[in-house]
Amino acid sequence: MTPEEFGRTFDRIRQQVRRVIVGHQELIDHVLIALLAGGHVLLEGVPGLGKTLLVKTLAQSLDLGFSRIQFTPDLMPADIIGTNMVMQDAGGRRYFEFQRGPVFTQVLLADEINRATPKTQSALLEAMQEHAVTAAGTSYTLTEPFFVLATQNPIEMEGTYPLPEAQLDRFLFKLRVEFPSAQDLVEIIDRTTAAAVPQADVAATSGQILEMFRLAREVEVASHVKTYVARLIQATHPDTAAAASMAKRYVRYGSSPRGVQALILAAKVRALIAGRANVAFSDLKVLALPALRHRLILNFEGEAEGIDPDAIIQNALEETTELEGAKT
Amino acid sequence: MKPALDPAVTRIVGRAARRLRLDRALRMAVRAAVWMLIALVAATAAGTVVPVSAVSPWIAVMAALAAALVAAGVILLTRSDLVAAARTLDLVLHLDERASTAVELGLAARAPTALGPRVIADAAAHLHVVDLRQAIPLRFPKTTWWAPALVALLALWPALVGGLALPGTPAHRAQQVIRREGARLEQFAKTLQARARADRLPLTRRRAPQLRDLGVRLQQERVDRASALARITELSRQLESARQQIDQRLDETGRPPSSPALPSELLRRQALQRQIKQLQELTSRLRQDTSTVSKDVLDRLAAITQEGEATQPAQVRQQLQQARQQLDRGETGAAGESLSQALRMLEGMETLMADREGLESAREELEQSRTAIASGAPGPRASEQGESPPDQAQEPAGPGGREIASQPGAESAPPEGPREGSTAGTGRVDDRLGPPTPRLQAERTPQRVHGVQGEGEVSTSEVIGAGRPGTARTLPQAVSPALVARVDRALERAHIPAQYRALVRRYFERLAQLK
Repeated sequence: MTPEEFGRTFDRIRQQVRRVIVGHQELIDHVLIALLAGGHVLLEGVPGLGKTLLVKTLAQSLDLGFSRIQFTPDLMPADIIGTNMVMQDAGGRRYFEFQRGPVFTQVLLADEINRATPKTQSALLEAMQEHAVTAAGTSYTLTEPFFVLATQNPIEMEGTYPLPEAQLDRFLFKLRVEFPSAQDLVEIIDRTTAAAVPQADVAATSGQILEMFRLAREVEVASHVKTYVARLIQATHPDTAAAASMAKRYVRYGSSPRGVQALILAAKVRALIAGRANVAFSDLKVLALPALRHRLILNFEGEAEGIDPDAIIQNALEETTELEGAKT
Repeated sequence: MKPALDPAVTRIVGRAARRLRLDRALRMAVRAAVWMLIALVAATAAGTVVPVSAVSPWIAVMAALAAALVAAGVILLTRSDLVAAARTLDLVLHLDERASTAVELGLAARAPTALGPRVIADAAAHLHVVDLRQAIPLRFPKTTWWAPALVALLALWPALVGGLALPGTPAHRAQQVIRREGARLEQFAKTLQARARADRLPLTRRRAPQLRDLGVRLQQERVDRASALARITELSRQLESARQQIDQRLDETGRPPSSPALPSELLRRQALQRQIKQLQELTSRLRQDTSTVSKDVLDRLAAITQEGEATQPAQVRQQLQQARQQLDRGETGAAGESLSQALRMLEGMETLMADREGLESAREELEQSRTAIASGAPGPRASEQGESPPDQAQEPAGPGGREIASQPGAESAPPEGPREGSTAGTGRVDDRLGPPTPRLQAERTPQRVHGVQGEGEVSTSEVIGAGRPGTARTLPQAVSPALVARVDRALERAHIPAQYRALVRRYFERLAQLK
């Protein structure tokens, strides 16, 4: 696959998703970038904003297997991964057979993931990181490509279990689903209340997705761009010399090294979408918020003052120079 | 396999690197010049605290140019960095890191990815249309205007702040020394001028006002050490030139070579004066008695001739010889004429030597002032004046009497302790005498009565002092009725308030009862 084919395929997928989803153009782009970078996405937004529809539409346009798990407090890990069941063959002999859970798919929608208990949430850890699950000592590989798109409601926090840092860190992006504009609402009315509801056609196969995934990894990154990312990540850590002023005050732990990987991988995809074969500073600046906002752990002062991690990342971007030693 | 860097990319980035180097050299040159000028302005401003001379604007310009050239040279001699140039191009032209990534790929030893050649081709396509003159314009930095402003400041400094010194600083002390030396020179010049007028010394008379003017200027103007020294040196040079003129004229008159018997000009001049006096006597004797020539006159003339061999010029000796021969022949009138001519020549020579001495003394005074100002310490005579202001400076000794250091006791250190009598002393009065005793708070009449006690006018003055409560020492005595009547009348006439009148009356009635 060439970069041009990459760009065309991406445009096709985006076009199909936009047939169904009204507005949310940046959200769609970021979800697609995360998928093509091989990462998982945590969608945060109030109910009714089209999160589930977006994920279903993506699965349709990519011709990938799709499963949806509604996370509830009584959901058990076996409900996700699957379980060994006692079966009986024709001869009457009984044996255990592994019954695959909904995780055995390619696009997994973990709806309201923060409503399940941490034990159940952690059942997804191995699947997200290793693209494999283990049950009763047997490891099962998931079909590639495998993406988890989780949603959570930021308002109704009662009776929820906030995702542990280890699991949050495994999401490539954390995207915020904003309320649509008045113009978009009118468009939503037109599209969803008419007799014919628009459906997304298949825009790419799983093979193409894998090729796009591989091509993205070929994108070149200049040494000073890598240095910039490293300094940006260090700027989110309060104890480093390069720490940004807000990070020093409000952050307990900064971004993990997974933040660097996520940022560079996503930037590579964005570079290809822009028709470039190299990563630019602009790619990193655009993707820094979704790639890093869920990786910062605020300290007591930050929590007490209700500091938005986006503000801290923005501050780090402002205080980190593109060329080392240059003035901001 | 390492992808080959496109020649177009190499060429354009190389040109950009050279242009960036030029731009940086320009900026560094301006920065170096400005910093040099700032340093020179600071050094000039330091003249208000320490006695350093203000930097000349020309020197400042030359120093700034030198600093700029050195800074630019250092930058231009460094090697061009293609990667840095490519990064700058990316930033300036918003190339999204295409150029820097391509240059890194072309120069790096690492194996590139499959998209490496595409990155280089992409960079070449974007750089192909770049106008480097527009992208990297060679412009003077914004701080360039500082350079002429600082030079102008240095040029205006002497007029605006020149010679200003903060009180209590070394510069202020140096300025005090300059003023003190100015006062000394002025006083010396006055004396020199008077003497030159009295002795009719033309060149000294012409130069003395200049010396006086210099002294006045050193006192009145805000003169820093360098300009004071420059003025002194200039006047000293003029005096030296005038002295050389006199020397030349003395040589023309046939001045004899220096004799080991008369080591100094002063002794030579004294010998000359003695001869002039003797010749004047002889001339007057010849004028009084022209009939006969005594042996005594001939002997004295021979003695004058012999004594003046070392000091008299050849023409004078010739005239004296001629006079002797004329006297031998009995031609008294002609001999007198020859002696008068020799006398005039000697007097002219003496005047020239006095003029020379006057100039020399002025030059030596200037030299002393120059040394005092340069060292920052007052001169020998100035030290005698202590911290007295210039208007109270002692009168200098004048030419011929300036060897104060050679006076007995002048070289010995002043005694420890406070000033006692006419001795300066090194201590303070408080050290020896302790705290002052309390004084009567009364006005003192600054009046001194001269003369012998009991003679002349009697002078009295009223001392107004603080009143002290006490008892009356005069006892009440019996008074006559006539006195009481006078008191009554006085009470009637006097402006005594009504409430006190009865009290006063009772007092006097009691006096009457005592009677």
